[in-house]
Amino acid sequence: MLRFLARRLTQSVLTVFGVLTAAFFLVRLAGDPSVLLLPVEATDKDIALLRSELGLDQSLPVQYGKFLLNVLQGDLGLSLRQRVPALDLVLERLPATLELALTAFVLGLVLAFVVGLVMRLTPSPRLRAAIMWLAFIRQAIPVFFFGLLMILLFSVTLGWLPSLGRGTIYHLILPAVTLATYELALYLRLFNSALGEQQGQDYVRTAYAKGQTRTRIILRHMLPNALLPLVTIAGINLGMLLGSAVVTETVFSWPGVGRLIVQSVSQRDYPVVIAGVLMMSLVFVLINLTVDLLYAVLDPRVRLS
Amino acid sequence: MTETTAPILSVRNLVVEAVNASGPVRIVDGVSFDVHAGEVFGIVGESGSGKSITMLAVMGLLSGRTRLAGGEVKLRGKSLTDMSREELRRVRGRNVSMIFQDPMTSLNPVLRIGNQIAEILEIHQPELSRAAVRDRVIELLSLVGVPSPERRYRQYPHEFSGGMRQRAMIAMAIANNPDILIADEPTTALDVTIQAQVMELLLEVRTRNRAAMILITHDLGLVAETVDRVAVMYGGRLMEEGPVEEIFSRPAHPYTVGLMASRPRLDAAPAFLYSIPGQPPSLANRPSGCVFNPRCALQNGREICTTKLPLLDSVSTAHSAACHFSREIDGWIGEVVTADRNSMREAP
Repeated sequence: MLRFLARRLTQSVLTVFGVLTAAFFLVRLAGDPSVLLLPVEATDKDIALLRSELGLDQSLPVQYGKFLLNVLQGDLGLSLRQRVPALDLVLERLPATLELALTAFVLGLVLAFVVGLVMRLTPSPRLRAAIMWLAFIRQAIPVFFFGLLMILLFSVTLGWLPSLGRGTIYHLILPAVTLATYELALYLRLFNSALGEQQGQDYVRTAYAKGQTRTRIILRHMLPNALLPLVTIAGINLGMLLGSAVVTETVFSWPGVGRLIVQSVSQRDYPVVIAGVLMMSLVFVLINLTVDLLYAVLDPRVRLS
Repeated sequence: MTETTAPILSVRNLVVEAVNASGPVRIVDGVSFDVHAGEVFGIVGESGSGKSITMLAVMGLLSGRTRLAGGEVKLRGKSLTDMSREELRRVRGRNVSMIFQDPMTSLNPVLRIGNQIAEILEIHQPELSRAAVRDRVIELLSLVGVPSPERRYRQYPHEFSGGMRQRAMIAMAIANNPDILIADEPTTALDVTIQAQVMELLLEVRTRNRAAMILITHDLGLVAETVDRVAVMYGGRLMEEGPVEEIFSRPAHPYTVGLMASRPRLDAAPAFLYSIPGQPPSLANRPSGCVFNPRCALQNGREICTTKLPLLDSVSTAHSAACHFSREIDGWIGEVVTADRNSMREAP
């Protein structure tokens, strides 16, 4: 178990290092920030001064080496715009993103679990088909478009809920539901097919041969086995959800890390972009580790190996 | 064999259909047999002959695309086929138990062995306390020869070897002292060295519990050693039925003759293995008349074999066969054996 954990930790560190490297070079492809930072009437001399101040006049490998050294010391640099530590800006926004993403995740997963189980326990093929079609349709609609439809219906037409910003629980509803329904559709389809797959297994036939009731066979025998794929996908997907959150945050002007990153990219505020991406990747890696551990709890076969 | 004359299990004209794209296909067709108290009844036949499906139908475990299309199953005079689902559920695991072929997949991988055995007690004897259930499971585990049962109780199926898993399955099957044990190829998936041990155990616990047993297998050697009476299935129908010594010494159906001739034998050249010519029938396009006629060497082009379905007819007191020409068999067996020898000479 310890060796397993050590190996996973090493992999995680490598992942984060890869993300940092990719982020560093990608933001430099976006263009020179000094042009955007200075007023239009700035002279070439002013620009050159700023470039040397930011270290942009040095070669790319040198910049990269300095960057890595600083990161190792916990220094992600100052925001080019606001002249405050980039990490502080990100950390300030992190609670908002976690609030949105976790609400959507938990809501989607719990609903998928309940609906999937009830659907299996009360076998109406028509009801099941209808629900699966709804899930399919929801999954086919992109998050940003679904978000706009929600705003149109609940904020513009009905006037029930605020469409922008963060503050009260009402502000959370629209973005959370937008994300959660997507999660729900995904998990429901997955959970349904996982349960369906278990139905044909030999051990289920054994349980019937014992005289066990259908309900208890589903709950006691099939459910634990069907949870394994659900946990795996949910773990992988929680990371992707952070990506979807970027879009959702932009649509609903939700002051989270995602929106900060998008703004910073357009302002070429590199340190903030990198700090934001780093934060997201840390969360992602942490989630994956948790899933691996959870898997070992659920499946006795994993515990040994 | 027993003092009671009424059979424990009586199956009459059982018909099972599989529904496929082109309509229903009869995969079990008019199967009838009786199993008496304390006896071991064997069902032999090649893969796809309908042995296992017949047993699942008896248990009320047909699922998916198969369904009971006719016939009756009676357990101690009570009709299982007329029972409601709920009544039938109470019979399963209490009066009738089943042991399946593959112990690797027949146990739930995420539940402890002990709990899986305990479950069958909890279902049918809810009055037992937790401690009593636990004690009984440990007793059962040691009864079926699982060493250190207290420790094994807490283990998962993947921590058990194949033979041990099948022992656990047997413990489960005998937990409620059933009237009848159905063992569907219980040793096929096991190592040869383990097969004999598990079979011995199965027969031992059966004797101890005074349960009748149905043994489904394609291992004729096993049948000869362990079974009292045997039925031969082919293409979803019973071809022949009778006491095992009689079936082996005086088979009355050409299929049985072919089956016997196909056994690998120690007294013959190992290079040659007889096989019945042709392929098992496609049940969607069942041959008219006798289902075995396209492969039958005894038919000799006689019309009745392709026009009239032969029914089980007694050959002697307890022995019956479904062949229009059972009486010709005695003279004919020689021909098969001769053909057998001739081909053997050709073999290197």
